[in-house]
Amino acid sequence: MLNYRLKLSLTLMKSQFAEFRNADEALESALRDSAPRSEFPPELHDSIMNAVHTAHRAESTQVSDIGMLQRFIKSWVPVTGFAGLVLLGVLLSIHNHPVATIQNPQPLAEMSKAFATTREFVDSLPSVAVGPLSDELDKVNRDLDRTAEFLIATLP
Amino acid sequence: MISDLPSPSDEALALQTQAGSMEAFEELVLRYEQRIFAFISQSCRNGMDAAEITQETFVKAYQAISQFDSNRTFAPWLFTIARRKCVDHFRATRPASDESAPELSDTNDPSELLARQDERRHLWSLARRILPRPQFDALWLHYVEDMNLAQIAGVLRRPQTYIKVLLFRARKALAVKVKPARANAKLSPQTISHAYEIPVR
Repeated sequence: MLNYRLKLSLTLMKSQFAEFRNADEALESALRDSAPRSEFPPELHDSIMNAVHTAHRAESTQVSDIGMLQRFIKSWVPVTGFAGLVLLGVLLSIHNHPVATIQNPQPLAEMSKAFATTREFVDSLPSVAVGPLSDELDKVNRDLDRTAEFLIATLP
Repeated sequence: MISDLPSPSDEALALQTQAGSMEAFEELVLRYEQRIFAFISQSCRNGMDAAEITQETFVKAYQAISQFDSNRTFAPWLFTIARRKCVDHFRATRPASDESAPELSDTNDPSELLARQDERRHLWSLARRILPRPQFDALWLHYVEDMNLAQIAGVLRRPQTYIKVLLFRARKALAVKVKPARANAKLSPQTISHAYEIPVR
């Protein structure tokens, strides 16, 4: 009895499922094949193409303006860029040239003159005044000599 | 140039348009103008508006043709533009509450009754009336334009799963409204309008 009921309900379910599937398929095919046809206005094609041509002309005008700017940039940027690079190279070579400092001996002469003057000044001081400080003076002289050597050694 | 190739694909024509061929674009217009017009006509009852939006769609397509990737299909790209133009048009011309106006009209109005009779004949008229816009668009693109889920997802800018759900809901809503007069599995599509009847309120 139970088995019979199960079979019956299964058959019912199958038939319902088939019905549902058939209805769905019928609906789908109806949707596919019953698309409404809109009446296409005969003048619309020309109207579309006219609008497209107008847009094309407007675009061409814009492009020509941009083209002029591009041509200007293309013609002038390389020239000015090249000139700038040359100028930069010249400036760098001038700044980094080692001869430039050697060719200008003025500061060196002034420094050596200053050292000589200091030494002469110390030598010319009276021995009574200098006596108690002789050791200190010796140290100052040594420092001066070392500083002078160091400065000369650091010069290119 | 076009006459050398008997039937160039839409994508090939789009490539030629990108190279500057206006003839190629005109061929694309010829291929798609009726389909685009039909699609747009479903959204606006006014034929003038539909014509205007169709024109705007093709102008936009021409202006944006350089952005078209020829490795992809042309039709979904064009329909995306058309749909966006439609949305822009309705956003600009009418308030959002106007969408449900036909539903609220008097059922004794003769024009409304005629429209209902028309729906008996045209399943799509019913779909247009009862379905929300995204569901209707998905249905149209799938069954009329024969687009697959991925292509519809591209047009509606939604994930494919969402499109599946949209289609399912649309079919379900239609099935509820359209009650089969007789459950005949061997119905032909030609006789479908006789096989279904819309419940009278």
